[in-house]
Amino acid sequence: MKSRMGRIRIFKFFYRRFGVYLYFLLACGLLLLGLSKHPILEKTRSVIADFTCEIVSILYTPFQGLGYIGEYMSDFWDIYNENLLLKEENDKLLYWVNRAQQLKQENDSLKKELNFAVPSLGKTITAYIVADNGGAFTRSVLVQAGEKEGVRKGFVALYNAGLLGRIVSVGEKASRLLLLTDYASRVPVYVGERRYLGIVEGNNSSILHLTSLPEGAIVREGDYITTSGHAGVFPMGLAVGTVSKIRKDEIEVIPFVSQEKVDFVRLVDFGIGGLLPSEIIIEEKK
Amino acid sequence: MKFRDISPYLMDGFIKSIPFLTCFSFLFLGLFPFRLSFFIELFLPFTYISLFCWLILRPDLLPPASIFVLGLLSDLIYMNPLGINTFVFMLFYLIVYTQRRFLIGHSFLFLWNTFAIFIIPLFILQWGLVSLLRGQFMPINSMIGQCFLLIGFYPFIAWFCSKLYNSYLDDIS
Repeated sequence: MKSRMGRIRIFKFFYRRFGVYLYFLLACGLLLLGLSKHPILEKTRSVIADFTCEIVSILYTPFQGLGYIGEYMSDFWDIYNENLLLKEENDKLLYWVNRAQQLKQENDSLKKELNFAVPSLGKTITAYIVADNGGAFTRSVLVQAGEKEGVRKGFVALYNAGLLGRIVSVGEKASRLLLLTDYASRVPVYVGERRYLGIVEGNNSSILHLTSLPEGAIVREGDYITTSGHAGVFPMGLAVGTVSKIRKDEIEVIPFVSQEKVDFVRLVDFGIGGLLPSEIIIEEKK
Repeated sequence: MKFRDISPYLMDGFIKSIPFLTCFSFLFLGLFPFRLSFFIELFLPFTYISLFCWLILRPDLLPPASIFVLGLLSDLIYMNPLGINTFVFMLFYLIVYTQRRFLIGHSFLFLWNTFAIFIIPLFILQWGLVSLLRGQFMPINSMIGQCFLLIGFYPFIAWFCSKLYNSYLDDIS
């Protein structure tokens, strides 16, 4: 009994003296474990995402009003300028509504003539965004729909007609959506009416960058950017944004969907395999 | 054993876990979708401020194990490479804990400046580690903005922590 007490005392002494360094070493071990990109890490993150989703949806309720007050204040601040812009935009839109109706009629009649099979939109799930879990180095959000609701990795997230991002990990009740604005995000796109092939890159801010254009490509401010369908992650023709500024060494793009305006998203399964899941890559390496 | 017999122990345990619970809550506060472009662009990890305050006020109630758990949770919740926040939190703990005796009893302004001196190199280290592990330089602008805003928010969080300390933890051993 005495020796057992002694051992406990020695253990306590060492723990008090060197416990910090032990945890420090464990943290270094975690860094190495993170480098291995083991599938179990992704599973753990998914479980934590479920847990986080539950906690945030409970804790956020009292703060929700605060969020709306902030939104209201910033809207109120911009009201005059926004009104001018809306009037201008309304004139343009009225013209385009008429034009779109004409084109739709023409399109419908041509499709009928050609017996064209319209591609159907895949399975669609609408889900609320419950948490912004990005930091200074990531741009991602948690959506309140997971395996239970039929969400799978690779589902494309849309808001209105604009592209927001794609699902990168799925838990039982929640999924993680990587936004277009994330630093690691690269989307092959078509630019403007001439459909120059380029790549839209995120840089962890609300603005995207357009790169890898072919030599001699003429890009103008206001050019529309849509997904090209290359690399098999996104289907062709999804609205990404418009060219907002052209500088000597970079082209800025404003995304159609701004993250702060989005409460819920449409998750669509376009049936595209996309990039290989991490499990397969690891198995192939073995 | 009846509930009223154990309730003082439960209450005591709850009060003693206030430092951990504060840091834990600030970890989740960063996840709230406030819909303000300001918060989206510059997410603020308030946990650092609460850790700093509690490690000076009551380090005995925030043992290294709890810092490790907070770091690990932070890594798993946010999409940073695993271990980054755990490593940085543990380093922050080591720095503050070892310098605590020089910080006790100093003015609020002195502590504010010290927090700034500690946090700037720590953020640079975090940026360097993430860049190294991702194999590309991460944008530094949002990190700098985040760091200075966090320093700006220090008085509010420090006031909140000191209020909690004066109300519940001042006379508890």
